[in-house]
Amino acid sequence: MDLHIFIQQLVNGLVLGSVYGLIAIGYTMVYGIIGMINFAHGDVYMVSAYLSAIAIALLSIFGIASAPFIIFVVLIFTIIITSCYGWTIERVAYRPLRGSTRLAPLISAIGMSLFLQNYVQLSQGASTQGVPNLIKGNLRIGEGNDFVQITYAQGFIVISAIFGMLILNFIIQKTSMGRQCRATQQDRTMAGLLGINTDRIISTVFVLGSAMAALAGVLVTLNYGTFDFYIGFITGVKAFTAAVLGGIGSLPGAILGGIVLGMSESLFSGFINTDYKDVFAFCLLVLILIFRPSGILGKPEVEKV
Amino acid sequence: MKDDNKNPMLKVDKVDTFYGPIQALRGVSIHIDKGEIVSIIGANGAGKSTLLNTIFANPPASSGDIIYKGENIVKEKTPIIAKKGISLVPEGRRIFPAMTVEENLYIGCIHLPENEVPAVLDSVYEMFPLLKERSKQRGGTLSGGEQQMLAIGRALMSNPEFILLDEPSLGLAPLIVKRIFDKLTEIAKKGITILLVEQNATLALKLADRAYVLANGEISLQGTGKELLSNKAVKAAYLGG
Ligand SMILES: Nc1ncnc2c1ncn2[C@@H]1O[C@H](COP(=O)(O)OP(=O)(O)OP(=O)(O)O)[C@@H](O)[C@H]1O
Ligand SMILES: [Mg+2]
Repeated sequence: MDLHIFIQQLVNGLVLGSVYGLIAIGYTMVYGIIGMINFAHGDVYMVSAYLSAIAIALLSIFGIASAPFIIFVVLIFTIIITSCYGWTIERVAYRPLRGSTRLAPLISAIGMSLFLQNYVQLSQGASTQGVPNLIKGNLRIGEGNDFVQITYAQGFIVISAIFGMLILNFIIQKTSMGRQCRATQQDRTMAGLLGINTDRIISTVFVLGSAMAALAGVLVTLNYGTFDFYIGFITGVKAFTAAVLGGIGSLPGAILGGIVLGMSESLFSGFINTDYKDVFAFCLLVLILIFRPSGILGKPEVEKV
Repeated sequence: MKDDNKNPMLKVDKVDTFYGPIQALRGVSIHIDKGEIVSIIGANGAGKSTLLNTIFANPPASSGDIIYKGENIVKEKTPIIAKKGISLVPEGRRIFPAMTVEENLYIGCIHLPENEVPAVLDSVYEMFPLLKERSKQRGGTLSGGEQQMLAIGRALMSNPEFILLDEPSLGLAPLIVKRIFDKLTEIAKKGITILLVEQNATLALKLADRAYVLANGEISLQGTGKELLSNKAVKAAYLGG
C-alpha cells in the first residue's frame, strides 16, 4: 500500500465528507426538532445544483467573467432561493400534517421528493447538465510520481464548508433565534408556553438546513461540473447515512459522520473497489442501524420514526 | 373575602376542557384579583394542571370564557397568551436540561425589549443567588430544588404581572419546600399576582388569600385560606384528617 495514495484518498475523502456533512446537517436538524426524516432533503440539494447552474448561465449572458465575483453571486443567489424551497416544502407538505400520525409526513416527504425530481426533469430536461470549471489549478505535494494533489476547487470546498458550519454553529449557540431552536427541540410544548412561536422556529430549521444543502450544491457543482435530476437520491441517502452514523439529532455528529463516511468511502474506492463505493455506504447504513442505531455521538432513544 | 370583580386580573368563566373524549374540566369558574395569592387544591387527576394549561390554551377550552385584564383570551394561541404578561411554572419544572442556567433564563424573556433584560436578570439573580453561581452549568445537572428555582426564575424573566405555578413543592424535601414558599411570598410582595396549584394543601392554604377546591373537574368549595383550613370536609380529604 502506497502512502501517497493513502493520503490522497484521505484528502479526497475529506472533501467528499465535508459535502456529506453539510447535507447531513439538514437531516439531523429537522429530525431533532420534529422527529421526522425529511426524505425530500436530498432533492433540495439537487435543486440547488440546478439553481447554481442557472445563476452561472445568467451571469455569463451578462458577460461577467470574474470567477470570484461569479462564485460569490452564485452562492448568495442559490442559498437564498434554495432556502425558499425548504421553507415552502415545510409549509406545504409537512405543517398541515402536524399532529397527525407519524407516518403521514414521512409519506408526504417521499411524495415531495418525487415531485421535485419530476418537476426538475420536466423543466430542465432529463439529460446531464454541466457548468464550466471556474476554479482552476492545484497544489502538488511530493516528488516524481509519488505526489498528493489538492485542487484549488477541493480546497475551496473544505474551507467553505468549515466556514458555513461555523456560521451555523454561531447562529445555533449564540443567538436568541438559535436558543429558541434548541429549546423547541428539547421541549416543544414548554417552548410554546414561554411564548416561542414554534411553527416559525420549525420553518427556520428548514431554512437553515436548506441553506447548508445549497452551499453543498454550489460547491459540488463548481468542483465536478456535472449533475442530473437524480443526484439528490444517491447523495441524499449518503448524507442521511452520515447523519445516522454521527448520531441523528446531533449537529457535531452530522459533521463527524459526514467526514467519517467520506473518508471510508474514499479509502474503499481507492484500495478495494470503485464500482461498489455506493453499495459501501448503504452497507454501512445497514450495519449502523443493526449495531449502533444511536450513532457515534447520539443518545440511545426508543422509536422516533 | 374581597369583593367579586373589584380589580380582576383573571376570570375563568364556565370553562369546559376535553382531552379527546375525556372531559377534564366541567364548567369551572374562578377569578383572581390583582395582587392576590389564590390557591387551588385537589386530589390527583382532579384537573388542577388542566386548569392552568387551559388558561394557556394548551389544550384550549372547548367552551366558556377566559378574561385576562378585561380581554377575552379564550381563542388565542399559546405563544400569544405568553406575551401578555402571564407566566407559567409548569408541573415537573420542565427546564431545558441541555442548556445552561443562564440560557434557560434568557429563553424566558424573548419578548422583553433588549435594554430591559439586564435589570430583570439581575433581579432574578438577586432573588436566587444560587442561579448566578451556577449560571454556566447545564440545567440538567441541577438538583430538584434548584431546578424548581430555575423554573420560577425563568417565569419571572418575562417581567410578568401574573404567575401560575403548578405544584412547585413536588418531590422536594420539606426544608426546600419552605424555601420555595418563602420565595413565593417575596414574589407576591413585588406586586405579582399568583395562582398556585398544590397537593400540599396545608402550605397552599396558609399562603393563600383565597382558595378553591377542585374535585373531578369541578369547583367543589371556595373561600379564604383560613376558612378552608378549618373546613371539616377539607380537613378530612386534603389535610390528613
Ligand atoms: N394529555 C392528556 N391526555 C389525556 N388525558 C389527560 C391528559 N392530561 C390529563 N388528562 C386527564 O385529565 C384529568 C385531569 O388531569 P390533570 O393533570 O389536570 O390532574 P391534576 O389535578 O393536575 O393531577 P395531579 O395532582 O396528579 O397533577 C385526568 O383524568 C387525566 O387523566
Ligand atoms: Mg397536575
